[in-house]
Amino acid sequence: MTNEMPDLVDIQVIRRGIKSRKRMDNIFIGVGLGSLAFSLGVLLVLIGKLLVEGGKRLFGQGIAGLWNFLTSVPDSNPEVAGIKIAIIGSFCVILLTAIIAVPLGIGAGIFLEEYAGRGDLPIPFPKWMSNIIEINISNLAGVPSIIYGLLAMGLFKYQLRLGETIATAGLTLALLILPIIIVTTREAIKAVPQALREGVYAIGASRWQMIWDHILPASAGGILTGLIVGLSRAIGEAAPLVTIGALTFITFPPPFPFSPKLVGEGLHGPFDWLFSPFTVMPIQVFDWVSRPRPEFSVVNAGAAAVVLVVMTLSMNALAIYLRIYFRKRVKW
Amino acid sequence: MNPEQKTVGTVLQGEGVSIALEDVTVFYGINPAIQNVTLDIYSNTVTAFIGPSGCGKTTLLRCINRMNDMITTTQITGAIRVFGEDVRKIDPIELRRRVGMVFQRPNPFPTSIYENIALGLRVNGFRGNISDQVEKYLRLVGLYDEVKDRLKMNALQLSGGQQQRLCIARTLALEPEIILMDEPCSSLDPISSIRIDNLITQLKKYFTVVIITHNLQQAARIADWVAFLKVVEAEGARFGVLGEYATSTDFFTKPSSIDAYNYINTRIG
Repeated sequence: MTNEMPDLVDIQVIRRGIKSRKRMDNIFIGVGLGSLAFSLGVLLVLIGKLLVEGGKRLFGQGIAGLWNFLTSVPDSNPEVAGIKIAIIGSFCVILLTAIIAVPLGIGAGIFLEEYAGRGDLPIPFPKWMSNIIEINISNLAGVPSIIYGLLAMGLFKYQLRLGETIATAGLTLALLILPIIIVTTREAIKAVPQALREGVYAIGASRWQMIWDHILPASAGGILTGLIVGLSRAIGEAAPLVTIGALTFITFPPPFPFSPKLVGEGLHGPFDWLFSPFTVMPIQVFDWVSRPRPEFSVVNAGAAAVVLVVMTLSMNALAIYLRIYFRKRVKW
Repeated sequence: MNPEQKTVGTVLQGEGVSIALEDVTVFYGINPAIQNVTLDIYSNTVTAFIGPSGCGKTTLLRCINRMNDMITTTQITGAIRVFGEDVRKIDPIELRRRVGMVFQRPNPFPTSIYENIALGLRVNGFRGNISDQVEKYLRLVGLYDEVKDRLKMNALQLSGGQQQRLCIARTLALEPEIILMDEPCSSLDPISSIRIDNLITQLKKYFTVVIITHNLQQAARIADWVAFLKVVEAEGARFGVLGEYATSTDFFTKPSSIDAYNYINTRIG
């Protein structure tokens, strides 16, 4: 035996083999660390640069300067121009986006995962149909956002005559993030064990009772994460809103959402905010960056970008927190 | 409505037929799982399905309360009648309300112990006193004294045996007329297992029980009737057929087929 298989028993050969495999390991560790350092490094430089440039405006004059920047309207003087209108605009647009996309996305996700293709629906909905829809939704999640902007320009702005308003922007961003919400809702629902479903059916629950009492609480963490990731993507989108022609310089905020109708105000009462012109954070940044004066294009744009990054990062942090919170609560 | 009245329907006496299977064949896609099973399951008896793995015991059991509806490729031919009605004509929710099921692996809901039982009552619109009902059935399965101080605790923190007894209590609390049990003791220690056996023996006054088991002693101990399923191979497919259906005494003392004899004496898997 020993002579037939020297490679497998000779201790020197074994050691040499292990050594060369370890070398392979070390090479890969080096490559992996390098890629990590490169990508993180670029990100750190980027954020550092933003902080340095924007910090002049954000932190240069203490807390009053920061407050001033956050609560001032745009101005042709970079020293007094602020991002109040953009913050309020972003808030209104995201509110409308959430109002539209959250129920539609979760509803569609539940239908596709729990109802479609089961053969016992009151309306025929065969498996192949849900397969086609599934493939298309996954593809939609990868469509460039500018395409949604073009769709919105044709459909919402011109066909429905909504103009360059919060309504158009909210609808556009809702369409943009719907696929993300549907896909993550489905994934979250899919993760609920089949044994739980069977147990609920076995006590004579209807399908809706099962979904409401068990599936949704058990998958709430995953669904919420998807919602927040989708919304934080929407908050940072500029391209589709530029396409629909959102204003870049505007000095008055939209009416507060659902505020009661005042004498002499617009035509839609509590819904006036939907039909107001607006600007949002990324567009504000875009506008300032394209100006010639460095006080705008470097300092103010950097400061606004820092605020935008803080907004999206805090939304992502909330998503992570919720995921951990719900995972702790639900276990099997 | 007086909740006590609801139990009247379950106290059926005599030799009525609860479940009638007539020439039942089940396919998953193109693969046959079980073919041509005909048998009557009598009211207020315990019927055990036994047989080697892959003989279709679980498939057959899950057809009775239409749990197989959830697998879209299932095709069932022949007739399955529960209380004289074809199961395909009964609304599945009503059917599962009247035909309870206990699963092989304990699957309590990830909520409190109390909620596990209360939820079933609530989804079915039970109007009586829920906490009385919870206590009654926790006592019946011998769990009440173990958990009475921590009813708010998450049921998933119970031990496997306690979880399974909770699942049985959850099923019993709805006072179904038939209870299907798919190897309820397979993940339990011997003591919990014996407790469940005793419980089943008491329960047949009120319920008809169909139980799958791999444990022949358990089958001999609790079953009145035994359905022995065996695996046959034909045309390149493996599927189960009914090998023998007899009273427990007859089956274990004088099995009429060589397959059954070999199985009882563990000559095949």
